[in-house]
Amino acid sequence: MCYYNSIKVTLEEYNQLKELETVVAFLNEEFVIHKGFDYGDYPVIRPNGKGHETERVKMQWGFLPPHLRNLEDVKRFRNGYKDESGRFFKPYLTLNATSEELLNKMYKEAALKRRCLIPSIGFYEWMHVQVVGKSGKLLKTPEKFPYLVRMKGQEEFYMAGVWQPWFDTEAKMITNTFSLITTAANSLMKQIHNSKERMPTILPGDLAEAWLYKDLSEQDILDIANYQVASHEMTATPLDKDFLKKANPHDRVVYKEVPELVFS
Amino acid sequence: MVNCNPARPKVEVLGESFFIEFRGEKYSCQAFAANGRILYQIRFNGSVLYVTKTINQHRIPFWTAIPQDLKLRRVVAEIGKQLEDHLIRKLCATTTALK
Repeated sequence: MCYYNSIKVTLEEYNQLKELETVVAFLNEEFVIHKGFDYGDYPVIRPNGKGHETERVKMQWGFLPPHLRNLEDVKRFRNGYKDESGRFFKPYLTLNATSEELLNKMYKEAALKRRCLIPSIGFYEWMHVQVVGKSGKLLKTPEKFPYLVRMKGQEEFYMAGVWQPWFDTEAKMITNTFSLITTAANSLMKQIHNSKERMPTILPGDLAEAWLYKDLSEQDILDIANYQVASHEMTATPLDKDFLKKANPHDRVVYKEVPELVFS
Repeated sequence: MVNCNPARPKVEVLGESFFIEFRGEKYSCQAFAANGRILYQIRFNGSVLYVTKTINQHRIPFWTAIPQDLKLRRVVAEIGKQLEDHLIRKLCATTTALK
């Protein structure tokens, strides 16, 4: 007999329930929307050291540099903090690493030694639109309208990333963390992510392979990190503004305030 | 080419998603068939809970979270009851554990 939920179940039942955990792990990868600011675990692909074989491992989304000593340091790093004199130190957002600055400071060593791929079936981005308020005047703060962006004919695609093992000196534990690389937006993403004009570096097969395995020069790294997938290879679906709370979050919802996308 | 498709469990989406009411709020649910069992996914504004019905050694059915989480015992029992009520209403069916 074994215990599950504090109630004795048969060994056979216990084994079945344990097997379901594998299913849940799979469902979490496939059907769950991962929000970066949750700093949760996400499946990442990296070489496993045996030729051209890869492994899928869970890493924490949000790159942590090795100089952080403990969780308190991590909290300060991610949220910012005031020192005793009241001086505010800005937070570091490391969910994304910009391709142009990949070889500067924090990410350099990881870019040279620990490159990875982040598998995805689609990502979300928000278009900022100036809307007219009840008074008939343009509101100061633009409204945000979400889109789901996918790759045409590709159920799964790969985004470039870099990873970093982080050692918690108090808990004596290593957590692998990663950052997703972004590049300049293509013409479609410029319309969608119009506030920042950035998009993930999505790599086609040959570049994904080079990113993982090749001994790349600094220039090669920058060239691949800056790779810009073409607009016509993407699809974009407008979503409900509250899509995260919807039973079918990927249902197409068109708002009249949102300009139509132009694919070029 | 980079091969990123390790063996994956066979999971089938069952029917359309539906809502259950839990402590005054509505949450969306989706049923899945996996390993010959039914697994329910409940979305709580971004985070997700999975539950299934199992049976104890005395053949008494009960609901459990997957993975097991003892802290969620009461919540899972409450959600399980809601799921059953939903199924009874919609399908005129009763749920039982497999064995």
